[in-house]
Amino acid sequence: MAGNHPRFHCGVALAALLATAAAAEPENPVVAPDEKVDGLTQREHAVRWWQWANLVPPGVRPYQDPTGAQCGLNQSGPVWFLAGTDGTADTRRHCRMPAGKHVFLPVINMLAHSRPGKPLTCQQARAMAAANNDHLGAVEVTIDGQPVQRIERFRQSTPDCFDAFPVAPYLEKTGSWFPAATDGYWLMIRPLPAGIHVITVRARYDNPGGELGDMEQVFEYQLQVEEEAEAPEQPATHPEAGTLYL
Amino acid sequence: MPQGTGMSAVIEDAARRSLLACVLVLSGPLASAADVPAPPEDPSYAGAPAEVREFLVAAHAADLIKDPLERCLAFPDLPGNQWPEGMARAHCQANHGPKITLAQVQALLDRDAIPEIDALFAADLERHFSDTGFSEAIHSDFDAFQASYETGRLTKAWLDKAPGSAYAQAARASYYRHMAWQARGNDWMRDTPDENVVRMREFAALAMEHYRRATEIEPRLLSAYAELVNIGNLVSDSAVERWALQAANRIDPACHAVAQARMASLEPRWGGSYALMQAFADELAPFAVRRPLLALSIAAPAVDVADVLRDDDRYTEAIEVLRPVALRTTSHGAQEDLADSMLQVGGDPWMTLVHLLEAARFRQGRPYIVRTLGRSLLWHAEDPAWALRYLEQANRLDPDDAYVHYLMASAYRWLGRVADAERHYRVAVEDDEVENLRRDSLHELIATLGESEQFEKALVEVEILNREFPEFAIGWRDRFLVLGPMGMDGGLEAAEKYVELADRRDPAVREEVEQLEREIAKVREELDGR
Repeated sequence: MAGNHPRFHCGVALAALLATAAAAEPENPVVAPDEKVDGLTQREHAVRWWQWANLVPPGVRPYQDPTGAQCGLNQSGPVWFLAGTDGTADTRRHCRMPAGKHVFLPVINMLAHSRPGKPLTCQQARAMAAANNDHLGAVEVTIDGQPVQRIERFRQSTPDCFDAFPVAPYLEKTGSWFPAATDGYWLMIRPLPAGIHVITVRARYDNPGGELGDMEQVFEYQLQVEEEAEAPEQPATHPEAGTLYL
Repeated sequence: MPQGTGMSAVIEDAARRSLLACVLVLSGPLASAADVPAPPEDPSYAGAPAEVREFLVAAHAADLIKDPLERCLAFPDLPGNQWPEGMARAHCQANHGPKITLAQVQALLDRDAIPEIDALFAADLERHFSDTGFSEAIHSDFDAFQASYETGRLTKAWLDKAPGSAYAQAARASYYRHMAWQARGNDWMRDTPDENVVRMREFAALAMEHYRRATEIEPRLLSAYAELVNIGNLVSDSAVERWALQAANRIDPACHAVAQARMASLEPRWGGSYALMQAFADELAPFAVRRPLLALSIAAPAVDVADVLRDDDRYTEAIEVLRPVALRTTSHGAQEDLADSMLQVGGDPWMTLVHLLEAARFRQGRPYIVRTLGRSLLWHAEDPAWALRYLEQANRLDPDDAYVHYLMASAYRWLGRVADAERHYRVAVEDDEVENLRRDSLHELIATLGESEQFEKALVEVEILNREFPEFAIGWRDRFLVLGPMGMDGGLEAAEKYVELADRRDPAVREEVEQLEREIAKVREELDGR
């Protein structure tokens, strides 16, 4: 029996060591790209993201937001959408959001869709959406100062096309805007603890000659995560905003 | 015997087919009465009064000129007008004169030629203060900087490279100003969602910031003051508006762009009044001799009164207000609104067309107006080729407008361009919004295919037309006109159905139907005699 003591102590020590190591290395804040959240794949969240972005007309779209003051508009469910830019401005936004929600964030991406007088097949839309994403240039993302490594792992695309404008009361005929396809790099971030968090994104395509082949994203979020009691009152949402249209 | 019965049926069918062919030959005029006269080779506008005819011939010739400024200058003035001397020329130059384009700026930016970009704008600014080479071009130079993705990218890149350029600042401001208006939308404020209003204010704040910087760098940049008046009005910031107006007046109290922005902010809908508008118009009047474009602002109170009347469907009163305005100024808005009001009350169609053309001379109208002009040229002036110029424009502005496709198809059909007509009719038949558009497009598609002897294709559409619109008499007429040449059964019955359903209150239809009835009776008699 005595011979077992060292082994016993060694095992306890090893376990303690492993526990210490785990505590020292914080959990990766970014969800693996193939991991589902709220029962949906991240590709499905990308579809929902575009449908959310297109609930409002041009000029009011989340990726045109110059301040972040309205980042709560039309948000619903356990995943909170943040937006990039359309490449026309370097943007710093301040956004208040409730705790306990995942954050879904585009790093850089494309949407291709039919429009009146310019119909696309699904195949054409997919090819257009993919073109620049095959040529990702420099990319740098940090969450609270910690860089996110190997962004190229986080590419999502939609092999089946979708309707990017299922609820768009500002459009006269939504049928002319179908089908759509998206392709790009997205991050699903685990719920962040209450407090201020800073997310920075710098990304660009390197596809000379391609349409938007030099698009660049430079934006920063100061994300103020608040416990339920202190969370801001959300602006009214469209009644259909929580519905998933796939 | 079954076999014999069958044989006699075949013989009878053959007889009926040939007799029906006789009906069709006899009723030749019926076929040619199918809606569209032959196109005049050289439209003479024969039905128009002499003065209008002369105008149309000259306008048609001007519309063939490709250069927009030359086209505008060559356009005939409104018959009987009392426009201030030089106003039409100044209006043409303001709207169609040379101006700086995005492509021009982008090309210079791509080779880092920042001083050259500034020099382009500075030259036009100097012309605003020149006695000999006066020009308002500096205002038009910023027209290119709209709420587009291209503008956003270009102005960002330009400003990154040249933050000390007043023109880069003003161009970026122009982009944000248009973004503010885009966020605002066209609805009344009470119908505009809160999120749109918040976003409008955010963009307006950015625009003001960049315009302010532009005026700090180049204090004579009147366009920046004019737009600050515009934005101050948009976001109800009277302090900004007042500051910009005072600063602009110290530099040039007769600037057309500043006057226009100020007059707009004095409209009752923006919190002003007609008394204030008129008082400002009186202030501008002394300058109008040397700055004829100011007549547009001076006429603004009347144009706004008419606008309010039109909102209340009081078109006759609006016409009374707008007619003298159209005679005294080149205002394209007044010409458009006058034409539209005349359409609403069934006014003189020739003068309606003249006003629509005069408006189109100075500015491309909204899609409805462009479509209306195309329709008027097609159906009233009977000039399908000229009509297509505007219908194609309307189609570019709103590719989903099925009625435009219908009108384009009609114009192409008239010109004998069957494939183009068919293509547009096939878009129009898919419409489910405009009353009877699907029905009428099907009918005209059948006629077009019949005219080019594509009877099998026509028959497919006939089946749809008769099935979906069984009470539409013309559809049965289409059926017998298609079946006859194909030698198929059912033509006689279709002719009888047409005779049964046709609306005989129209004398032309009654005559046609009675002729057909006589032919049908002869055929029946002959069949009975066999």
